[in-house]
Amino acid sequence: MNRRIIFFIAILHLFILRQGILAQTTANPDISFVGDFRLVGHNDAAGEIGPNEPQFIFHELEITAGSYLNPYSRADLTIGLAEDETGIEEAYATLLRGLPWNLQVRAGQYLLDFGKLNTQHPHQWSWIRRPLLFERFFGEEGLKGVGVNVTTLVPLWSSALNISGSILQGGFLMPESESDVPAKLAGNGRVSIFASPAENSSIEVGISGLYAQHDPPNKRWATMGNVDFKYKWKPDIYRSLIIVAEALINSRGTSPDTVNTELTSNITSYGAFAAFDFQFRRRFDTGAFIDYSQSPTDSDDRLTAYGIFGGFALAEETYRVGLLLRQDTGTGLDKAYQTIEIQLLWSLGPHKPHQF
Amino acid sequence: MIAFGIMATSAQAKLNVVASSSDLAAIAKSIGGDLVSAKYIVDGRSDPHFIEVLPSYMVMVTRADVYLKIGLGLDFWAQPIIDGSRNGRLKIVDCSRGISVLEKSSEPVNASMGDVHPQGNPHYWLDPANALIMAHNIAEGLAASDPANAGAYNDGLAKFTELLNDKIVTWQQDAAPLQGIQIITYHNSWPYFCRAFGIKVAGFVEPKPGIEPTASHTAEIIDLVKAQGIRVIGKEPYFSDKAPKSIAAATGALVIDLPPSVSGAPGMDDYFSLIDTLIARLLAAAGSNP
Repeated sequence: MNRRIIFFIAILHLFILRQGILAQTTANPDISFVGDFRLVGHNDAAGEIGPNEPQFIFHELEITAGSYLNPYSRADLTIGLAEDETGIEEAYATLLRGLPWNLQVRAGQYLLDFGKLNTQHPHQWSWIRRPLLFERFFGEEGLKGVGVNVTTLVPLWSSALNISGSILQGGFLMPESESDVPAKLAGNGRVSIFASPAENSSIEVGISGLYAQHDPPNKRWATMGNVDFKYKWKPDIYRSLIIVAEALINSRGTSPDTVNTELTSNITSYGAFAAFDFQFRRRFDTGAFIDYSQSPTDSDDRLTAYGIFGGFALAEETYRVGLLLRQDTGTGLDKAYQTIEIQLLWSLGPHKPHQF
Repeated sequence: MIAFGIMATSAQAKLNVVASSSDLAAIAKSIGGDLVSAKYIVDGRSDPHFIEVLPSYMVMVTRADVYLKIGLGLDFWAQPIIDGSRNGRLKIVDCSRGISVLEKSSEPVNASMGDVHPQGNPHYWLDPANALIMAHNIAEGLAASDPANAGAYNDGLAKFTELLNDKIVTWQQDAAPLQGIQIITYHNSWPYFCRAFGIKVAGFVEPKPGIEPTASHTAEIIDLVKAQGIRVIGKEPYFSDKAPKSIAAATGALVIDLPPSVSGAPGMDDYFSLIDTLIARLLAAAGSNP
């Protein structure tokens, strides 16, 4: 039997078994399912990226579960089942209270707060696709790590300063095929300020850093920085405007010479993403994005994408149809190619609060 | 705002109270007077079903001694705010404790019913009799968090209760002409208020809770309004007036704003003026549109 199906059935059995175990208590976790199904077509005259015929794609089924373990802590879990891959996206426990200095501590596997967008799951984005700067530098699933994260919230009058730091198991910057030499521990941090400058408006600005090995056999480290910005205006349930922007800088040593790998040249490369999403009716939104990223190991290897998108949400996030029109161009592509993507996103489970 | 609590001396620090809604904050302020600083997250101008978890709310709760929850699942966004505040000394009060809940389903609820509340209708504060229960819960919470002033909070509760009981008699007299009238409301926010004053909600502008009005459902409501001679359509200020106005245009009914919480409109500064204003608006609409 397909391994994904076996895994999914095992998870279901655990949930069913849990009903018996937790009958001794009244605590049931919130369990949600998010399905992402797409119709994708390309106009790729050069034939570089694949077939041009429209294709139905079962992109992902995401299963989340979360609840309180006790009055002081909670656990959260996200499992992703894709067409060719199944895995744990996040699984962590958070100590919520009882620590000094307004600290919270999270341990497990989680999406790093390197920038704002990386902490979000793609189904939260109206532009559908993960920005190039995260795909190229961290892979299709973004930047996630196993480690310990500590955060604190510092009140600044009516604003909030959020400080976060993680110590992580290294290795997430390396392609899977490389090296049996284990990577050293890595570090990540983010400082952000949130403010509400006017009624119905909110702004968050953050700056992040990451220090991790990308080449353990040669003891080479990458230093990365990110600035992020988010503005949201939402006067009522019928209208909203979201503007997001992120920029990343990466610096790492590489070996220009495959024979004498002790020689090091320093590569500095960049990426940036910006988008706006305007909800103009209760069920409708539209927007546009621009996306640019160099390669982490070659600043002359550049990809650019831009596009427009729109969506129809039948009843909040329970059922949403999105349309994406996108053009990609850049190094390695003889010609720019266009993509049209129609996404059906559905979510099953309890109504969850919206995080900023 | 009417406050019955004892005046604080300048040397006394106020008890910091944050409430999910302006109604709970208003009652806390009425009971605690100058001993209490009361803030809230949502008032009558905003839809309490769709509050975003903002860091600024977490900052507000970080400094709080007491958090007043509406409960019954309405302020489900409160817990992440409380968690994000990291406030380990926070006293949380569920103000729905002891409320006799209306519309509690005996069958499992699911999303085909719309955005229903599985624990029953949570808009209980709109029945003045429930405000007595809420005030008792709030006073208990204030006293537990600030035992040194427990006597003052009990005095404030007693005075609030006395005035509320007097006002309930007055409201029943004033609202007598509303007994038995039928109205249309946008959302199912009003069963407790309508039960208190003998008003019947004949239908809703939205076809199911949280679902946008459809053309077919609007046509059904128009037929209902015409058949029953309904003259008043009540709408919370945070909903669109498009569908209510089209019903009104087809039937001659009058659309009025009914803010369901304190601070939902000018002059709605406390719980008493909230109920005063709601009754006055309904009387004016029913009287001017017989």
